[in-house]
Amino acid sequence: MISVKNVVKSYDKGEPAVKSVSFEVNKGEIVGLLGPNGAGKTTLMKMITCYMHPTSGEILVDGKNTVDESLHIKNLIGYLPEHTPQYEDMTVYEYLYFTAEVRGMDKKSITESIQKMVKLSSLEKVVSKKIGQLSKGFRKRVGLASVLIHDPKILILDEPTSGLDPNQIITFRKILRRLSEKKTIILSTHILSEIEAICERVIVIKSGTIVADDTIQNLVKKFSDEQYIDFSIEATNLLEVEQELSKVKGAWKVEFEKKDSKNNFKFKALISKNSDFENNLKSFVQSKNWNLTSFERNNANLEEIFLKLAGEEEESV
Amino acid sequence: MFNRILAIYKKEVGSFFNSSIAYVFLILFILVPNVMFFYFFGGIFKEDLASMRRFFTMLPYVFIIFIPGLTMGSWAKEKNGGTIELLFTFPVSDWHVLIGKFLASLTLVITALLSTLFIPILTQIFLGDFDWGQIFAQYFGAILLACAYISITFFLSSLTMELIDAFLLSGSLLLVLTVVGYLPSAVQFPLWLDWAKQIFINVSLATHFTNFSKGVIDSRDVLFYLGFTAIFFYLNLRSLESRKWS
Repeated sequence: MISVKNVVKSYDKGEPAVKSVSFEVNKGEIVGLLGPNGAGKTTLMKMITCYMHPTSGEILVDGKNTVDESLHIKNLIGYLPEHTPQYEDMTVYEYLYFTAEVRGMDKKSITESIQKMVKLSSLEKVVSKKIGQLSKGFRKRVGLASVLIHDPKILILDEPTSGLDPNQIITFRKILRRLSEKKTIILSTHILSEIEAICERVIVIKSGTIVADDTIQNLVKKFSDEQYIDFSIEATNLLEVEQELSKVKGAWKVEFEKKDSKNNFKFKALISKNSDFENNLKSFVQSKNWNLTSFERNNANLEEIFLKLAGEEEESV
Repeated sequence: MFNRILAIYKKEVGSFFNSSIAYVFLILFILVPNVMFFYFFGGIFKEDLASMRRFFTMLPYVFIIFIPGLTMGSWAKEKNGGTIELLFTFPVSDWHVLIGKFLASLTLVITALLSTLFIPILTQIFLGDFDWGQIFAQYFGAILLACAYISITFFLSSLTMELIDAFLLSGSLLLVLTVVGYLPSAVQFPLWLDWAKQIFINVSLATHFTNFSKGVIDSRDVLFYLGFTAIFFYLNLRSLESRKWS
């Protein structure tokens, strides 16, 4: 359904936002684009929706090129941009009517479709209110209703649950799961629980490059030899402990978690199963005259895998 | 495809009225030029002539404020609010969006212009005969003038995200393009600079309106305004397309 081939996107200045990315999304798949802010997820989505073109490479949607046949492709897609931009001076009904009309629907099917979308997104109470007066949750629901109004085959959702409260997130996910039976969905997020709750497959992007592309089960299996260790150290100076711990060999990453009590600092380390980190840490702590007050090994979950694959990045421009 | 352009057009007209821009524009357009027409600059009564020439002579200057005020948000507002992303992922081409928006702005200007028709109508009833052929030429020219002004402000609005920038840029460029035609009569040009003088006269949006304000339709003036509008339409499309490749 969607084929991204060696796509590069460079902006005027700096290094490319997307660097030679390739992947395929089949009909009926729900794919999560996962990556830190600035990884290139939004740029990739903007290219798939024909808002911008790749600097090199090509994107085919339903077998058509996004550069040459954008009108055909746009007809197939329902796109919800990141901050859910909407015309705030319109009422919900006017907005839904406009989005249906601009997609070439006739009057009769517009009326029927609006009724269906209002019911699906539970917008009955706000249908005659101006969008500018609505809460974030309702605005997201209006956004979702507007991208579904023409019953598109493909849904592209950029951070669909950002800014929602937990109840709203649960409702939103329920709607998405219901839709996933009939549609191809690509959604971007930097929230791992989102991916675990909705997606079958995950594409992890870092600095414009794909670092993993697999089902969640396969990813966890692939990284099953990864473990993380929760440990606490009793010492006087946190800064010193943090600096010194980076010298301990055998861990992918050591991060400060929280301060348990006055001089007790909790850390998390991601390691390989066969790593010598445990012994290294114990002898290092002894040599520094600190106390190792707790030590616990756990198998890595998706969050740890993501940390290892994508790490932290700068905010996007 | 006409239906999709119509959808954009209706949305634009609706947004003028939803945000009260339309009301402010229409009220000010009816008040300011008409007050100036009747009471200032010699007024119609001193002239003792059933003609709207004085009103139409002022029009290029009145438009310098009114048209940027109306259209400064055409693209800048969409960019600022992020709705431009929405607009250009709908199954419509850039060209269709531009036409829909342009026609919506033009409709409002034509409505404002038609609201001034009460002057010749009342004069015809109470004071004297108007030359309706002249009136037609004047309104026709005013619509062409508005097309050129709107196309310029649309283009400049596409270059920025800030409404105030779009307003100031458009107002400044329109002022230059309007007054430049009067430069040769204000400043003595040496003979060897006659070519520059001709350029100033011919690129001015106001000098091409002189014939229309007298009630004369000259095909050169019609072509000038249509060409001017087409050039800025083209520049506007290029500016919109630049998002795809930048």
